[in-house]
Amino acid sequence: MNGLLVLFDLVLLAGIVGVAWRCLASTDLFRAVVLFITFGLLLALAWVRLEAPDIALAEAAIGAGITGALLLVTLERLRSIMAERRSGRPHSPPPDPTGPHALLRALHDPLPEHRTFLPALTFALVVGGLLVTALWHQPQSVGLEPVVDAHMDVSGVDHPITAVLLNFRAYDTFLELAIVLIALLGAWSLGRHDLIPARPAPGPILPGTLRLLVPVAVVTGVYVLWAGSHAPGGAFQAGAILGAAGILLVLARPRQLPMAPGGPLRLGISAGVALFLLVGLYGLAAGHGFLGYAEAWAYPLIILIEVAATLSIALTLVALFVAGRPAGDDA
Amino acid sequence: MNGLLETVAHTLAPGLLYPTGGAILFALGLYGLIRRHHLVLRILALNIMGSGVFMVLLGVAARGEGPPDPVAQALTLTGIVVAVSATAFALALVVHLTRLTGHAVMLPGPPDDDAPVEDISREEHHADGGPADRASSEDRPA
Amino acid sequence: MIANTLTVLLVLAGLVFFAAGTAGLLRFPDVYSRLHALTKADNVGLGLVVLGLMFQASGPADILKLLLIWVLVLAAGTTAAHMVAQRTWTHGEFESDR
Repeated sequence: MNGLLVLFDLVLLAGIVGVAWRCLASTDLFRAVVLFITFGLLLALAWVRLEAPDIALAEAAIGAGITGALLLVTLERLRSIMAERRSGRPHSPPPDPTGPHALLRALHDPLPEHRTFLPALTFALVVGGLLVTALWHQPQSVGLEPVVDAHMDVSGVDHPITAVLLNFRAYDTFLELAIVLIALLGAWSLGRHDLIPARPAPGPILPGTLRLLVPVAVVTGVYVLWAGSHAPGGAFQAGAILGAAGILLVLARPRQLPMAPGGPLRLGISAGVALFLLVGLYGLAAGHGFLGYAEAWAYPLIILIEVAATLSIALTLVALFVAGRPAGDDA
Repeated sequence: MNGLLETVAHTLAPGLLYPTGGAILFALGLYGLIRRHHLVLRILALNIMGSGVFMVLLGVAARGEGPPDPVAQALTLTGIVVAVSATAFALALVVHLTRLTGHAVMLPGPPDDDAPVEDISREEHHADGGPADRASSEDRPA
Repeated sequence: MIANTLTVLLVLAGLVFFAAGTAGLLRFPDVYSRLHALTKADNVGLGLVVLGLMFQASGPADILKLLLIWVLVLAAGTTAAHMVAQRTWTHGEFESDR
């Protein structure tokens, strides 16, 4: 039985490395992106094998799903920008007169020249070899699992990962939400959003499926959020599911995006960080330390923060997909 | 035969096998990052490197008896969300760069000073795209 | 014991469908026949796997969740296949490096 599992591990790892290799070796960006999505799904399998169902959920939803959607819409944007430059403005200077002509294609990257082959290979091999050596000689240790286990009763939740994320190491999660917010602000600082270069799908199939899927996605998201307090799940997975539903809605009507009201949108996007900060400051004032909770209040506060974080993550992911500030709010 | 299988299985336990795979992924991503020029491919390479790091973390967390280390898992979860945010921002930058220069390729050698810049005037630019930017765009009269 | 045997048999049968679908995806010449191989085989294959796993479920809630997964994959697969086919119909075969 053990041998079979080892065989499974080896096949899975070979598949993961092979798909990553094909992805990076591809001259065609669309193929590379599709292979990258496959890579994310295989990783989710590996995380299940490593007894990390939370990470597997997040990887499938965020790593494969949302990242894949972001990459695909980026390719479409690049394609439409290149087409526009080539056809619409003949007087503009050619993009890069020195580069080889193939480089001007948006979705194509020719194989690299041979000159970088040996240095890159040596460097990667040395780094990889050092990493493997270090990992094989790492002393065996029990890690922090016993510590977390010993403090579970004061954490307010029953799932160790949620306890770590929102109680023991809440600072990490707080800064993470801040990073998500800053990434969106960075994307917004690049300008207003333009039309998503997707053709609206004719026919009733997509709207019909959305009518079926979006309510299910909302229920699933809320369920995953609620389940996070005692089972795999939580704010990030729930946010990703709701964000995916939002992205589907955007994709179904790419030409007529609902005008997002600026104020509520900004409020929702910053709700996670803001509420987290408020709770943290309250903890500081009440003498539990920054981001510390009173034991009796831990569960409701964690749920409150998780709800706000889910909302923020979902809205931010959709906003990052749309890219650019909402059109309505700056004249 | 069975004993040999057990020994091999012990050596190839997930706690050792997966970190090794993670290191291979990291090195592979590094190689791709150096070799490929298209920025989207470089972002993919960075993501693959990140996945390698996650695999090392989770593999080490799953070592030994008993349940895996939840701190490492929580850290990985944080990392995945940070990775998607960084990827989204990087992709937005790539689209912007393509709009300005007409290509999304980072050629080796010194930066190209002759790149057309006439499009920049069309865009609104805020030097400090941080919270100040957000505040100012909210205060601006509609 | 009977439940375990049924699970193994059904999951194996499902895997046969998955293998057939994957072979079709790799070997068939054009988008339409590939979609045909993929969606038909995967829907039945996943259905069999889900049916097999139902014998391992601990309660009706788990059975319903498994069923929900199958229905969602059916709906999503149908839509995706429809959209791929539609795009192929209007724009020709996928040829991404244009």
